[in-house]
Amino acid sequence: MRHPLFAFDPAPVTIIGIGSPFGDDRVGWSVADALAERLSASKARVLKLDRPGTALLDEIAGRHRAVLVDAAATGAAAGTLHCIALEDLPATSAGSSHGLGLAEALQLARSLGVLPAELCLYLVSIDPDNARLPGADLTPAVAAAVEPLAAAICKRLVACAA
Amino acid sequence: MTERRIEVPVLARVEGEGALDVTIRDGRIADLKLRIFEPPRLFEQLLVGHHYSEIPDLVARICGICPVAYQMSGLHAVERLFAPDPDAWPLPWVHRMRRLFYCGEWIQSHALHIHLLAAPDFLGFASAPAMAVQYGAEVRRGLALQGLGNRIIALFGARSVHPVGARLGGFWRAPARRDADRLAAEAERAIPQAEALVRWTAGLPLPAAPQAFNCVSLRHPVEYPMMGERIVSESGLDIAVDDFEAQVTEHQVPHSTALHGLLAGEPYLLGPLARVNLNHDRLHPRVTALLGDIGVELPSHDMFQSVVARAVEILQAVIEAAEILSEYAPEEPAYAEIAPRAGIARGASEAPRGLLWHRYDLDDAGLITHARIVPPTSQNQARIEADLAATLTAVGLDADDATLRQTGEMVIRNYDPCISCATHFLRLTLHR
Repeated sequence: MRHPLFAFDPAPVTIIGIGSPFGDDRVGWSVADALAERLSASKARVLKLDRPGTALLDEIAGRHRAVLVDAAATGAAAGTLHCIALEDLPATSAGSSHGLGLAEALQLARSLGVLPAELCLYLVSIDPDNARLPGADLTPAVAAAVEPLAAAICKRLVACAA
Repeated sequence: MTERRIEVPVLARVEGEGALDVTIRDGRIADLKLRIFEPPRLFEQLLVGHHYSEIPDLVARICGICPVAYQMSGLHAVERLFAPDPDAWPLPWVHRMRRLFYCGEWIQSHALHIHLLAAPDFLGFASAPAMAVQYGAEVRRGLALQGLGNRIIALFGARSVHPVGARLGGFWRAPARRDADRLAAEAERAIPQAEALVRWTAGLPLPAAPQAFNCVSLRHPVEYPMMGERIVSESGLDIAVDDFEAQVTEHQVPHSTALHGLLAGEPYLLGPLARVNLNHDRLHPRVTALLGDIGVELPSHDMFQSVVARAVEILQAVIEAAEILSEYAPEEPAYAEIAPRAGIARGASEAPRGLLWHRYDLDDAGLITHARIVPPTSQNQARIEADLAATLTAVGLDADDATLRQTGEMVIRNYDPCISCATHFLRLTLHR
């Protein structure tokens, strides 16, 4: 097995877009798609998940580097980008219907000692009213955030790998 | 007159959304409502006009936790209409593979509930992540079991959520022998882990609070029930699946978008504890031996024992899955053609949360003209309300709000209600 960090070709980073097919809630998937186009499979393992929870845990457990992208109702203008620390992620289990929310899943990973050593968490602010329509396109403000975020993540990965 | 209202505005660690309103007046419960406020899903009407062949893929979407159950009840219904002889249908290979598929769902759903939803209650933690700091090995074991269940589902359904492999007469394709062999080895290794899980749940500091209730489940001549032809109860009911409608009444209550189910006008219990109470003589000898060894007595009328019942069913399902997988050989095609006919299709299977009954009226073109889906959570709702009234009274209605709220949530979680399926669920409002 390649050494995960200290090698000339380190193990690929795991990038996970979290979303659903409902309007702006899809933005995590859109960013994942944009990154899959820019990054080779040897550099990044790009996944799209339809909910956080234990499936997310499965995909990040024991990995050294992971990048998560999700839509969030942060109160900021739609399309605003946030790069936040796990500690700043509000626990919102009460509103979540099936098992674990993102914050709980990551807290569980930390409790179990399987949280990636390097975890970047990006949130794109959306208006929750635009996250209910099946099949709807991203609204312009959120769509405009996809490429800049993909570029920022690429830049950061290159900086980390150098 | 003193009046106190206690509200649990959003129930945590249940599947879906609901709330609990309790009004206490002069030291008695004057009113108790389990409110279910996910919008009604109107799924039955959505099915009308669709072809019977679409049922497995459509109904799988009703629930992200128990899609296999919806698929199996739907297929059972249609196949019972098209091929009425239960001895001839389904094909033995299909029957075994469906049991394996269903074992996967029981394992993943029960493992999720025990470790992430219920156990924190009994060990005094606010959440699963908080519990995992101290009980890391147990939570890891639970997640490994859940993963095994998911992988069994994905073996047939290509994915564990809303699987797509099931079809009328069997499966679209048989799993590759290599994939089945890998899972067979994993299932075999999971058996001692599942046995340890049963021992662990039996040793949890569970409250002792027996109550009188009537258990209902499917009953099979030899198997621990997953699909079956007879519905039985502790009160002596023993009816064909076709006669369910005549015995169970569903009625709307203003405080809930789920329908309440009653048997002969009385609440009844479905799910793992009901199943194991009525069918412990059908458990695998290895499960029975372990229960004797650790002194678990069945039947039990203490809902807190439902966490043990869930672990027992995980062990049963893991052993059965290991056995089926160890003898696996693919068959092509993985289904049998079956001639359609018009009529009323009724079928049932044991979802992780209990009896899931379906009815489809099919016309000459094979289109659905009427559909009725009776999920376990709505049937359990009246029983949950009765349990809440009894347990809150036993705890003492003069207890502080936090205690009553916590007790109420714990009671509700014992039923592992799946509110999304039932809406046709949860917050606690105490009025006093």
